[in-house]
Amino acid sequence: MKLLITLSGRRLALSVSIAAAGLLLLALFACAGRTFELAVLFAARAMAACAYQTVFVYTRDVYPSSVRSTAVRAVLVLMLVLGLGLGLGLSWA
Amino acid sequence: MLRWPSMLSAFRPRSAFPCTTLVIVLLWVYGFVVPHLLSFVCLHLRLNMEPWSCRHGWPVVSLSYGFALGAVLQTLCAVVVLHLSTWRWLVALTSLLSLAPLLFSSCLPESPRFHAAAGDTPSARASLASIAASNGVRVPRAARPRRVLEMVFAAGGETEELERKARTKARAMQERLGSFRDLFRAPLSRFSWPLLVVWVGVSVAYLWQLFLASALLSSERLSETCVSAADADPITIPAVGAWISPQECSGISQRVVTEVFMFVAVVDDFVSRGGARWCVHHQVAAVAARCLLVWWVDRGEIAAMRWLSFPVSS
Repeated sequence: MKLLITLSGRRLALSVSIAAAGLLLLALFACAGRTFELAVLFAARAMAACAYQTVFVYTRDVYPSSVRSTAVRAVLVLMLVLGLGLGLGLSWA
Repeated sequence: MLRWPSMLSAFRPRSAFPCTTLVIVLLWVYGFVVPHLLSFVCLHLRLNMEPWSCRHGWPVVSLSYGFALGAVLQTLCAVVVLHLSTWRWLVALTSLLSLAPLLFSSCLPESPRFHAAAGDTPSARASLASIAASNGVRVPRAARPRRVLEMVFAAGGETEELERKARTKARAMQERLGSFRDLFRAPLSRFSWPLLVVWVGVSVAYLWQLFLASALLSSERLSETCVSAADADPITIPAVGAWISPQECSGISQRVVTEVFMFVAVVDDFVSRGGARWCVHHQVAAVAARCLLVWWVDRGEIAAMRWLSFPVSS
């Protein structure tokens, strides 16, 4: 991940990792057994974590010092709101 | 077909109601403390004290490696302790790690950015000097904050007029410090709106795989994922899983409750702009909460913790 972020740039690393995470999560619908399920979950988690770290780095890169902390906190709040909404949505589904 | 438990199921009446309520309250406290620790320590230290040259590369991914290593150590610790004793000892032992920030917080300087934003210029200077001394360099001239009044007086002029100008300038400087509205004004808006869309996509993917893991690996499969002890007590495993990694191993209801408190914690951080040492107080509260839980459950109220299991039927 470090090499991907450093050598290829933030945008390519972000695009590749988020696309891979999406495809791997989509592969869970195959119901191909528990081992496959665990492996895909493991890989999807790695790719999602890579995307999260990359967008975190990118957010810190693009904003000036005066609003950098505000921007990072704002996107963290956004992520928590989405998590709350997603959890409540799954609870009520 | 997966059946997702409702968040309100955590509050349904039980025979041992006082203990259940206590466990819920303690889990809320824990869910409130951990985000504060992550938010204050990691975010403030990384944003305020990392030199520009260190904001990329290994320091960026070190946090992820730390989390991964911590998860492995927790799992190994759980396997060893659960083999020898009960989960109460595991909770008690891991609680001791919460004291580490308390011991090492005195070695950390407070954020100079926080002092400057709070108007405490002498403390900001002292913090900068402390950081520079630890790096073996002098504080750069551009990083030495001066009082606004001193700067205006240095320019010369009448006293009353200068004081009025100083107050106006101080107010303007305070307003320029990280306003949320600035993110959506030109020229930053051209970054903010696309980045907002990207963050939504990344957040949904990240959270979705967490929820999927929580659902697909729950019940008897949770044991293999979290503590590698499939034959352990069915009461023990969910409880341990909830305390080892409440973000990832617990049920949907606990995760939602934790998200609520993470939201409150980050909003509080967002609004109050407190110092990094806040985490010490919350860590002490977490230790007290864990010790209280261990003491209470040790009195024979384990049966009341069955609500932690949240079985997912298929």
